[in-house]
Amino acid sequence: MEHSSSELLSPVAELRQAHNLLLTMKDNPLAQEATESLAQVIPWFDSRPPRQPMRAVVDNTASESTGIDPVMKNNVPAQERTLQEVTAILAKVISDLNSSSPRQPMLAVVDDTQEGTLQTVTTILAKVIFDLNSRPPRQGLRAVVDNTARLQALPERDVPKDEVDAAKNHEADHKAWTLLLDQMKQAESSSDLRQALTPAIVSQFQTLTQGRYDTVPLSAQFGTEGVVIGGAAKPRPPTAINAGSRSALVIENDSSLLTVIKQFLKHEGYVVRSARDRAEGLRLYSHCRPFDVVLIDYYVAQTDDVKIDLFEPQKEWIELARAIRQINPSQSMAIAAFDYAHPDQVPRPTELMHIPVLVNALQLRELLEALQFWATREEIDQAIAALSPADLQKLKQSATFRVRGLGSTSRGTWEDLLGEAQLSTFEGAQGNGSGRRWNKRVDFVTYLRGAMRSIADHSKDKVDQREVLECDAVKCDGEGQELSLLDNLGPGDTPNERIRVAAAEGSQPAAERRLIAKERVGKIFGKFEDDRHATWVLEGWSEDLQKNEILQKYELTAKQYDAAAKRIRAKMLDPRNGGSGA
Amino acid sequence: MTDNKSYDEQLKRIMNHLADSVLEVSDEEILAETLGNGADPQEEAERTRTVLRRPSRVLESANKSLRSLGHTVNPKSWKHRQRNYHNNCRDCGLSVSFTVAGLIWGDALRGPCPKSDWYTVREKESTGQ
Repeated sequence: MEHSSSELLSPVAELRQAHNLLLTMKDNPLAQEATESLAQVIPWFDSRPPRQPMRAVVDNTASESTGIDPVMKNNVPAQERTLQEVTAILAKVISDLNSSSPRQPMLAVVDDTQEGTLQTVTTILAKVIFDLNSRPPRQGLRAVVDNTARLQALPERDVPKDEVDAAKNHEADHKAWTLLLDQMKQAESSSDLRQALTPAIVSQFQTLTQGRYDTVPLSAQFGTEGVVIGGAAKPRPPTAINAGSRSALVIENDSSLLTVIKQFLKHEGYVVRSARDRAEGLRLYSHCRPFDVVLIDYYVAQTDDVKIDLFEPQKEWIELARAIRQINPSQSMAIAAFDYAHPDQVPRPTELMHIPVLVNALQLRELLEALQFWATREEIDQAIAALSPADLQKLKQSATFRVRGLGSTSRGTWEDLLGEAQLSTFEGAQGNGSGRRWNKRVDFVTYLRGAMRSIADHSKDKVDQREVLECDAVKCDGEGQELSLLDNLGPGDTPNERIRVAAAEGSQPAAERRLIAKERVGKIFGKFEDDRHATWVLEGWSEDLQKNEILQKYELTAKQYDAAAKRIRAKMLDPRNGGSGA
Repeated sequence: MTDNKSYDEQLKRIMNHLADSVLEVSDEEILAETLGNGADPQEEAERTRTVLRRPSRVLESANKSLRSLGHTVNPKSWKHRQRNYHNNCRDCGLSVSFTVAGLIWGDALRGPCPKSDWYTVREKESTGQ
């Protein structure tokens, strides 16, 4: 039985197929338990972060070791034994997926001695585990086919000298990176230490990254034939996935750098998947998307066996980033370009300019912090989709009133103000320093309210700064004749019309604008001549008093205040009273 | 209310308090108010949701149009002017503007960027030169 990577479905699709097959064996209690395990794995794979906790269901009758108890194996029927193996394998898959430490080799059994369903199930599981195992770094993994459904240790093989040397170099390299990582952790612990250690870290980092593309290839040998992973991996008990766990995909050509980035990300609570080249990165992304962050090395190759020309502008990462954006325009990405001194020096096309560029490893932490607090474009989209009709109605009304508060300096309609707040948020999510950023700890509606207020206030300030008195707006024509902007208006024109024309001419006659404001304030109070409580509330608001201050000043109860506010709101929105009906 | 300028400020304060008070209203109350005004809350909600989704789509659309013509704009350089956003191609200087309501216009959209090597190469490729 052969499995090549091109034949593989995504782990989710494979697991779903296994689940469906196990469902056909309802009567067997072991199958039921295996089904339960799968049923929990599939939604977790399908879900978007933050993922729900997952627990592994372990069959107590199956061996806890990676293999099956030989005694048990000899005394139980073949079908049941296979199911025990399936259950044990599932427990291990879940344990491995839950683990934040480097992945341990997993064991899969292809049972060709069983016919029908069980055979298919075991084959599928083998393919799933092969898929999970076949991600770099792949040192020490070897795959063979077990056609006899028996667990067997891989035979010893003669390791070529270059592989031994490579392993030694890798070990030395790994120690150096580990030391660097420790220093970085120390630097993070306090600002003083950070200041002191930063030069050393940067220096060591540069030393380690110099010539990193000359590092030896990994000594991996992969099975295209099928699966059984050798090695005596000690089984770990299943643990629950943290509900807040985040995911990252790292596409990094250099194994040492990949190791340190993965360790760092895992230390920060990320579940990390990694690829060594563009093709593998895209395949992983397609199968396992979305991720909280995708980190792409600037020097990533199309395929692992292609030599990178360091002196040429790199294009593979661009193609990969474009492909990912095509799949998911909201995917948060970052580029690791550690050979550059400044992000602006990194050549990239316009549409990828918003992607943050990391030029040193310390910026990775800043990026992760930003991801933790600041919403991504995808999260903003999700927040919009999650807004209830009531939330949306509140936003609309809030925007409507805010625009009316701008008077004749209005930025247009409530749609313009709300749209501008949202566009600014969208720009901010791109993390390039422009726009406003939504801190996810703040409720989205509350955030938008603040954004609209800020935009409206800023707009008002700008108008106030450039306001022009009519006497200042007087200009001379070519013959020296004095002209006022307001001369264009006829005697029958309303103040609003006068303002509109004046604004179109590029001027804001302050006196006119204030006249209109006076008229509007008068009208508002006039609507509540017979409503004493509403008048008090309006007076309080016009003095910018808060609710408590209004209650105290006018000796109102909270109930009376709320009722008055409601009446004001209703009357102001009533189309019969000039409202928009919002 | 001693002078005209304070009226201007008073109007802004009243409306700002009204805008804030809306968000303190219960969900049931706001939906009832909407119904009371003769509007369908669900329709109103979807309309507002569209307003929220439109700006990012317009920006994407503007960027896509510029890209297809070989123009390059700095995403940090979108300037807000009155009710529209404005930018210029870094290579040829032609302008482009859009509103959050969905209007996109400008000289940059009238043709390919004359200074863009990328476009020239693409054009040659497409014509087989």
